[in-house]
Amino acid sequence: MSTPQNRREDPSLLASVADGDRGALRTLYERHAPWLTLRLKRRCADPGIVEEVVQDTFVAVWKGARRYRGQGEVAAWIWGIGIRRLIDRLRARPLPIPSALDRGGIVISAEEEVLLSVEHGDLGMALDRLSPELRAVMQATALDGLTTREAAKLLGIPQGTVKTRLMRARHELREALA
Amino acid sequence: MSMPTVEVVGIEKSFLRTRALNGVTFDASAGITGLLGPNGAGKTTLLRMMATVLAPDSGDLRLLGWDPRKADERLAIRRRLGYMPQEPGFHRQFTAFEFVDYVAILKEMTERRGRHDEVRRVLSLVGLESQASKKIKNLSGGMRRRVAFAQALLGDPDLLVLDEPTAGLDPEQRLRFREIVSERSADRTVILSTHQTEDVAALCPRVVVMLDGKALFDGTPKDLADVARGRVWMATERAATAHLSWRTADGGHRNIGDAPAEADLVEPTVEDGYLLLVGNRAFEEEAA
Amino acid sequence: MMSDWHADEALLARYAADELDDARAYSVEAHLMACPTCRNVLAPMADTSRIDAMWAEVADRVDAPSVGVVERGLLRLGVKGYAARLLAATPSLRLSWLAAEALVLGFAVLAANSASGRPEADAVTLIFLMTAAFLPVVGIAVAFGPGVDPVYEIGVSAPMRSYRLLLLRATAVLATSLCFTFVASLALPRLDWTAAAWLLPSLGLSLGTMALATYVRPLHAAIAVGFAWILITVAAAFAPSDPLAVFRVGGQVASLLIVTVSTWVLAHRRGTFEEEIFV
Repeated sequence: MSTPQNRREDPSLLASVADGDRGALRTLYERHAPWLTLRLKRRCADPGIVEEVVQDTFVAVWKGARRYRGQGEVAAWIWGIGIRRLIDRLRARPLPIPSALDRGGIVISAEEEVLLSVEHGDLGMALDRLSPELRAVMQATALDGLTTREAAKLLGIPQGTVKTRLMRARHELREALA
Repeated sequence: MSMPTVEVVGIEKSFLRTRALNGVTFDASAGITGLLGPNGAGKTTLLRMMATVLAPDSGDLRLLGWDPRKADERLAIRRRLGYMPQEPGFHRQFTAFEFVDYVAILKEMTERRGRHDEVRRVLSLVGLESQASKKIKNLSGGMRRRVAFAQALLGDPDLLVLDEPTAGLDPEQRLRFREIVSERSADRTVILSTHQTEDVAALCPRVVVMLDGKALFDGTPKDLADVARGRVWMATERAATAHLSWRTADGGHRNIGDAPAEADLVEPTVEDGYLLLVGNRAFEEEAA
Repeated sequence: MMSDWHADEALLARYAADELDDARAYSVEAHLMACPTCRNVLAPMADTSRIDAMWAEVADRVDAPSVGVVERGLLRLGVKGYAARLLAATPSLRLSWLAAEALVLGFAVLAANSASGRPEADAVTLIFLMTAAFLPVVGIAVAFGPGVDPVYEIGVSAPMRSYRLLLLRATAVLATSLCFTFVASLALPRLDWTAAAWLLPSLGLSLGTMALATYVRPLHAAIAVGFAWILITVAAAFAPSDPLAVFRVGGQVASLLIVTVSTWVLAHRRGTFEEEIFV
C-alpha cells in the first residue's frame, strides 16, 4: 500500500478493480456515487429506482472494469452505464414526466449569471426559451449522450416523436442564436 | 487465576502402532496458551482433540466446562469454537469470501445478510477485505493462511484453537496476527501451536512444551527462559561440555549446557530454555 | 479545453437541492463530467447516509456474485440459498463432474443404438443398465468425507451435523444422476421395460451406499457396493439363458427390499453416525 487509495487517479483505480480489488471499488464509489445519484434523480422521480440504478451501476463497474479502454473521463464512462441502467429499469414501467421539466422561474443570482455566460451564455437563454418537452429531448440526446431510441425509452414517448422534437429544438436554438 | 476453560488430564491417543499422546496433562484458562514442541510431539493431535475432531483413547478432556464425548455437550462446544487446522483444505474454485461464507453456513449462520456481514467483518480483521473476491487458487500462501484464520474468527468464538497459525506469514503479517489474537484474549481462551519461540515470547503468557506426547514444561515464557539460567554462555568455539552449541552472526559460539567456571554467562532466552529442554531434537528436525 | 474555472459552492448546493432550472443544471452537469474538483465539492451535499447504506448493498452483491451454473439451477428449483451453497461445494456436483457423467451415459446410449438388432444387443443393454444403475454411487463416493471434501476437518468441528451434510449431498447427487439417466434412457433403441429397469436397482445401490456410509467412509462404502454389484451382474451375464436376469422381477424385488432396509438404517443411524466419526 505505497500510494493511498484516495490519492490514486480514476483509471488506475479502475485497473485495480479489474484485478478484483474491492478497496479500489470502494474509493471509486465514494467519488462517483454522490454526483451519479443526484444526476439520476433529475431524470427519475422515484428515489427507490435511482438507488437501485446506482447500485446496479457499481456492480456493473465491478464486473466490467476491464471494458474501460482508458479513453476519456471515467466519470463519463460511469454515467454511460448509469443512464442505460436507468433506461433498462424504466422499460418495465412507463415513466412520468421527468422531474426536471416542471420548474418555474427561479431568480438568477449574480454568480450564476457569470457562470452561464462563461459556460454557454446565450445558449442558456435559448435553452430556457425552449418548451419543456423540447428541452427534455435536448437533455437526453446532447447532454446525456443517448441515442434517439434510448431517449424515447427514457422519456416514455415514441422514437419518431423524439426525432421530430429534436429537429424542432435544433431549429429553435439556431433561430435564437442567430 | 480464573477457572480453567480447558482441562486435559492424562490423555492418551494412538494411531495404529504409533502413540501420539502419552498421558498429557495441563489446563488453560482465558488468555493465550502456546504449545511449543518439535514435529511429532503430539501438538496437532492434541489440538484436533480440542477442536472436537478426534476423541481421546483414554484420559479426561473438558472444553469450556463440557465433555466432548457427549453428543449434546460436543455440539455446545462446537457452537463456541473456532478452529484453524494445520493444513486447512480449501475449495480452490471458491473466492475467499465464498469460502468463509461456506464455513459460516457450517457454523449454522443461515440468514444470508447477517452472515455476509460477519464474513466481511472477519475478512477485514485479517486485512483481506480487498482480496475477498479473488479465487483461493489465485491467492498467495500467506493470504490463504489468513483466510483460514478468518474462518476461525467467525462468530467471535470463546475457544480459539489455532494449529501453526503463523507458519508462512511474513513479519508484518505476523505482527498483525499477534495483535488480533491479543485483542481477543482478554476473556477468551486461545490455544495455539508453534515452532517459533519468538511467537511464544511475544504472544503467550502461558507456554506448554510438548515432547513425546507429554507436557514437559508448563509456565510463563520467563520461566522457560529461566530453565537455561546459568547454562548459556558465549565462547570463541564450541565448548566440549555443551549440550548444544551454534555459531552466531558475530562469529562467536553460543553454548548451552553445564557451563565451565570461567564462562562468559549470558541472559537466557525462551529459545535457550526450549532447546535445553528438548535437547538435540530441534536441531535434528531442522536438518531433516 | 478544461480551464481552472470551477462552479461555486452555492451553485452546486442548489444543484444538489434540485433548485436549478434546466439550462443551469445542464451546464453544471456538463462541467461535473470533466471536473473532479467540483465533483468532490458536490459529494458531501448528496444524502451521504443513503450513499453509505447503498454501499452495503453494492458490497454484498459484489462479494457473493459468482453463483455457478449448478447453484443457480438449485436456487431456481427452490433450494434455500445456504443449502445451495453447501451443495455447490460438493465435488460430484461440479460442472466437470456432471459433464463426465453425461459423457458416460452418452457413450452407453450410443453403443446400445449401434448394437440394436444384432446378436450382442442384450449384452450392450446390460452394460447400459449396469452403468446407469451404478452411476450415482460413484457420485456419492466423492460427495463427502475425509480426503474427498477439502474442508472436511473444519466441517466436523462446526456445529452443523455431518449426517445432515452427508444426506443433503448424497440426495442431490442421486437426484441429478437420476434425471440424467432418465433423459439418456429415452434415447435407447428399444423403449420397452429395459429402458426403466435401471431405476430401482439404482435407488437400491445408492441408498445402500448411503446406509453403509454411516458406518464407514462414503468412499469405502461405494467401493464395497461397487464390487458386489460387478460380481452380481457379471455372474448373471454368464448365465446361459438370460443375461438381463438381474433386472427382471426377482432383481427388482430385491432392489426394493434393499431400498426399504437402507432407508430404515439411515433413519436409525442419525445419532450413532455422529458418534462414530468422532473417534
